[in-house]
Amino acid sequence: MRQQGPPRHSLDNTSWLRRFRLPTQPLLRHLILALCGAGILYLVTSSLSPYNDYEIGEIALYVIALAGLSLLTGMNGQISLGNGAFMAVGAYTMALLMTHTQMNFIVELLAAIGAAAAMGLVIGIPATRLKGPYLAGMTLLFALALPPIADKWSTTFGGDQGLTTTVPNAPGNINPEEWLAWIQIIGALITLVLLANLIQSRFGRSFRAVRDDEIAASVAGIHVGRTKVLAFVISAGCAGLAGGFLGLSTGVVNTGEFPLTLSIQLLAAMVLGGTGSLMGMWWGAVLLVYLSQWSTSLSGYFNLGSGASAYLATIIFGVVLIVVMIAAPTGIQGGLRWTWRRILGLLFRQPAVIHPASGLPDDRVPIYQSDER
Amino acid sequence: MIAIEPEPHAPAKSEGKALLIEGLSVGFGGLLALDQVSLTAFQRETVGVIGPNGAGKTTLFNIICGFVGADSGQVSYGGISLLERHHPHDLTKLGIARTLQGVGLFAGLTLLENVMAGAQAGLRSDIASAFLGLWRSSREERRLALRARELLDELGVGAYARYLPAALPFAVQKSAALARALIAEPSLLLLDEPASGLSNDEMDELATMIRGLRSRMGILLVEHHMDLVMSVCDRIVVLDFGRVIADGTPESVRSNPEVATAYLGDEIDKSSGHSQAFDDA
Ligand SMILES: Nc1ncnc2c1ncn2[C@@H]1O[C@H](COP(=O)(O)OP(=O)(O)OP(=O)(O)O)[C@@H](O)[C@H]1O
Ligand SMILES: [Mg+2]
Repeated sequence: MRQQGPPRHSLDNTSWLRRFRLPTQPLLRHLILALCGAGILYLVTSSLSPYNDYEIGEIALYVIALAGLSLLTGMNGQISLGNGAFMAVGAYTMALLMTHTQMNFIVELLAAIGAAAAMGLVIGIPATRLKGPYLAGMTLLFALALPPIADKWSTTFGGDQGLTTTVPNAPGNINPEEWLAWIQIIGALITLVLLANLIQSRFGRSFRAVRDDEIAASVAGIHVGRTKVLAFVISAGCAGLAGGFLGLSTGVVNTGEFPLTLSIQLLAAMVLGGTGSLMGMWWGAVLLVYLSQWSTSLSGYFNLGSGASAYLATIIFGVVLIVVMIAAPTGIQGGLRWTWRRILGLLFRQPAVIHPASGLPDDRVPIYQSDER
Repeated sequence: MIAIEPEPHAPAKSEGKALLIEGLSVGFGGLLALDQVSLTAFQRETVGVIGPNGAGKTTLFNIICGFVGADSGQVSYGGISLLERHHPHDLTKLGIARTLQGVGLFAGLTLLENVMAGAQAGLRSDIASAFLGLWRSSREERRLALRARELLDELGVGAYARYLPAALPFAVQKSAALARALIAEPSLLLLDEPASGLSNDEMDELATMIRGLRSRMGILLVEHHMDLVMSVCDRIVVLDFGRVIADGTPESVRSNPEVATAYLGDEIDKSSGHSQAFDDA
């Protein structure tokens, strides 16, 4: 009527790759993706050494923490410097239950999630009233306050030694590293499926609406405060599970495993992977695991003290962050998506899709579809 | 296009929900933004609120929405007070929807998602089915998306449903903002300068739209374009420095000398009832 629509394009006929489509029903769609991911990871873990399997398990656990952070920052526009501390809450909860009770392993993990989420609620209710740097400051304060508490009640929390954790016995003759890695991978895949479903629901839309404009969101009937607290609690719960898994990987839970730099590195890795993306968190987690390994060997090479080597990891992270942000401002996932579109365009010589308002080809318009995951 | 109800149109003065404002005052520091404002909008009545820049029109909307607290006075809709324990997010549940001055769309949501967001308060799917991606949640989403798409089509901008607002023509964005308010199926619609930035043709379409809506809902229209206000409103309230200086039919307001002085007096073009001073866009 008033305006003419964008010209119809014929992508669907020219490219067989585009004809293959995933279902739009969230559960089906994300289960299919998760099964594909599980297949790839199965090939990887079964062909690598046990030590590499251990590392892949670590990557998977960081994916969980990063996905929660990506939801919080990318979808809801909040910044947390406290997610390392939420990991500690989850890890200690699980380890305490392991030392004092004989609960089912799954129940212990759920308790880790629950405790961190509850802590997220306590911090989140006042913190979500704050914006930008104040919110970051409050979460930072939480991250700073937690280790002294664990040190103060050292009989409960095990002091410097910490608490030991035990991985449930591997069934059959699977080697323990591969078994642990698969526990963590399955945890990561389930988390990703749940979060991807949520993002595609009315709650995901509320998150993004609140991120973009709080006034317009509340006029639209969205409870802004509740929405922000929900996002905060979910990200804390994810960190709790990741913390429990980290406790399993290291075998002990002590404050040294959760330094302040962990929270900062999580934030940097999330930005590297692609803020707001879930798939991108795999790249972020890979960097998180391998960059700190490289920095450890680098500081060994230069004979740096242990204090300096901890900062070296952060410095290397910072440098990589700057480089990636210059090359791909939307993170690694954003850069890959852009490249993939280019390749498809070259291969199939798609007719340029013209953006209706600007008259530019669609891929020249910064983003024209809603947040892609 | 929304079904257009033919004239004559008679606002229901007795039955149904009415917006009642009585002796409303609010100050910001030393500035009295609203001073003893009284105003009534009956069910299915289109009331124009006009006045020079800074007269307090948006502030009036902000009080109705619960963004700003009143110093004194009464505001109620359908017998429910909008001053005590009233939050903006409860507004759509009371049947009130609002468009914001400017555009106020969500920059990171497509046009379709923007409209869907307007129905957020009416959605029922629980968080568990959202996490699990169950059909209970996705079916509701799909239905809502269809309804949003229909509404965009009716306003003539359905072809842009997939696009982010920033790159689209201003008029398209304005239509989407209206659709986002309409999808909540309000009984009272607050429009804050819906015509600003529109061309004359687009403004004519908007006028037709508003006339089509008024058989279904009460409308409070803040607008600087006098042609539009005069042609669609049943009644016009004039604010100046926070005070009501006139309240009556378009004809009586047009011939009111006090209104003319509020708008730079003699510069008013009486033959068309249109003043350049009214157009701040
Ligand atoms: N939150 C606030 N704090 C302080 N002063 C405010 C606030 N909101 C509005 N004002 C002042 O109150 C007066 C009325 O503002 P308001 O936005 O209601 O005017 P308006 O009639 O909508 O004008 P316009 O036609 O320009 O939109 C103005 O002088 C404005 O500066
Ligand atoms: Mg205004």
